[in-house]
Amino acid sequence: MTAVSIVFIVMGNGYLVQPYSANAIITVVVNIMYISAFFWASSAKSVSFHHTMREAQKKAEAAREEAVLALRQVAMLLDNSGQGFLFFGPDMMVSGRYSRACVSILGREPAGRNVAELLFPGNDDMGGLMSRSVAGACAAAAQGDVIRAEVFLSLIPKDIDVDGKSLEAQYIAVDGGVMLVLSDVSDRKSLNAAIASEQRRMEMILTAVTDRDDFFSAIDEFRAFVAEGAAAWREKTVPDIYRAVHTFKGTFNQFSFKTLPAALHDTEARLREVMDGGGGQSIADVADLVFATEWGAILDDDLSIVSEALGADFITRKGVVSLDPELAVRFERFAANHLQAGDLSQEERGVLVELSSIRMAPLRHALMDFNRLTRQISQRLDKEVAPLQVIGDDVRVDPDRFGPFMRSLGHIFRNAVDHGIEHPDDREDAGKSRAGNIVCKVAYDSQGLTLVISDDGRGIDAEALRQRAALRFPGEGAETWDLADLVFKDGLSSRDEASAWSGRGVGMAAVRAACAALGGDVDVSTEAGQGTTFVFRFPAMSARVAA
Amino acid sequence: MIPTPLSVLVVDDSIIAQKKISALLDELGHTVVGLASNGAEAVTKYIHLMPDLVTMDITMPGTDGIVATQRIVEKYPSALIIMVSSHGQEGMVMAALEAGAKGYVLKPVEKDKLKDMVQKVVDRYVLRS
Repeated sequence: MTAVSIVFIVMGNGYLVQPYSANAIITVVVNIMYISAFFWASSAKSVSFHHTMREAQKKAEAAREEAVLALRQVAMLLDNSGQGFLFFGPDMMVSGRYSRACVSILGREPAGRNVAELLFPGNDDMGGLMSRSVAGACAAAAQGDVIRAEVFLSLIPKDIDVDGKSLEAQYIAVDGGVMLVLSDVSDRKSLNAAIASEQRRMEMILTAVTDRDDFFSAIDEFRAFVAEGAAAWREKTVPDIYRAVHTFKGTFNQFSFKTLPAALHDTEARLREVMDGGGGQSIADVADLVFATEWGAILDDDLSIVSEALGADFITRKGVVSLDPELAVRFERFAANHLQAGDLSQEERGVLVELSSIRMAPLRHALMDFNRLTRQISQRLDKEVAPLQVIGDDVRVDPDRFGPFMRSLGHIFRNAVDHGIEHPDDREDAGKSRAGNIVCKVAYDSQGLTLVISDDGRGIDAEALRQRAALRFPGEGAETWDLADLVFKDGLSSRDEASAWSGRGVGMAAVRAACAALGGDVDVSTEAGQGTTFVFRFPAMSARVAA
Repeated sequence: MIPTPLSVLVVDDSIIAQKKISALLDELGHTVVGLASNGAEAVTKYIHLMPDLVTMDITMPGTDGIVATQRIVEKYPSALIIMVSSHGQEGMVMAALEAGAKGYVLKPVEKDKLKDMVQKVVDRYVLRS
């Protein structure tokens, strides 16, 4: 209403500065009449000033109440969303305003506490990384650089385990600090874990059936390791026992055992610490450390999965109606002795030859068994690997003698898939088939047994390995080592972190040791972008060609 | 919106990775003007080529990606460097960001991830300046 009056006055004034025409004067007078009429009309309605003020006050009050209610509703929404919302500044201290769920999610009142301490208790490295991220993000945000702030915050882990819960975190740069949104995803995680564990259980049962021989000989070997205990290691070194643990870990991982690989992994990690700590501890102390774990109980626990599914006597019978191994050895000796005799019929000779190698197993089968390992690893690494090709002579070997060597080959296949074979896209870019190829060749002649394992992956960067070796083993002349020295050096890995699948650089040393134990030697060659080839040679008499 | 074609220097000690990243950048409409396979080469080529953008591997023989980033940013504070890193290298990425890198992508480098990061960096540092 007032605005309308002002327009009139301005208009009037406009006319007033014009020369006083009759029309203009009439217009002004009419305008003044309009204004007067307006004020008269207003007062005629008896709208008092006091009343107007009270109305305004009421409206303001209502608006304030509405705002408070809205805030309360927002708080209620935040409190009941099940998510935790909290704020912290560059000093990492959580502010006093947070949603109720924070307390249940974090297990304590967050206000005034260090947020890194809440999310990563006891993990100083992660705390340091987080406070550097937050400092970088706050500095960037202060300069209006939201993108940079976002980049810094993206370095903080989003999947967090706190207080036995699995949390998902979201970090958002806001004025002068960071907003943290927490969701408890434990239920979803535990469902996924249950599915994964069921898959592993099925894999283990399947392995026990399809890979019976290796499955049980690995168990026998591990039981012997446990039975001999710490005493067997008195004359050995810490790296020896470390290698043994590492190889068992790989073997039982391959057989999809439930708890044993993880327990061995923990022990391996502790041994690594001892070795990195400068070797101040005696082998006796270290062996005691290894055998402090109740390995037998863990093994039996894992094996109960198989016996529950396949019946208790599956384990005790080792899956077959078997010949007593001692008896088998006696049969072999008997056959070998009688083969020396000259006057044998064709049939007698045939039976004795079979009998003399009753325990010998085809090398081809043992190699084909690594198909499952390469398939498992390639699936988990999103890679593609064609089925293993095994070509060459049908050679049989004594499983007791060759068992440890064959199991150590898991390291070769594991490394081939993990480090050698590239991702399918990368392979395609390099003009290769999307699926990597691993080929095993077996040859047997008067010189002995030759086993060649080659992949068509990216090859080994010998120079990088040499530099790493020079750093890790200063003063040992690593600069002049050849590829085999580097590849088989104990404790040297081409990766910074050991993954669950690739090792810590001890596996390859175990392969060479197992090969040497059979009187064999190994050579390696590589070509960048073309692949890597391992050649194992064993003296004659360590195997025989099938008749 | 029309994408801004950028001139890019690709730094990686793996020839395959160089090829792969170059092909992706090409698909995204950018021009790879140079390749470098270690940090020292990256610094030299940067000064020589003055590219709009650099993709920088972290672990390389000799001078690594962090030191190279530091040297480039010291001379050219407005350099746009995106780190190419692996899982588990968060600490090194942090050092690179603190040294002045603008962003990072995780290996294996995928088209969408690279596109998003380049777009973010372009929106923030190229169009507005």
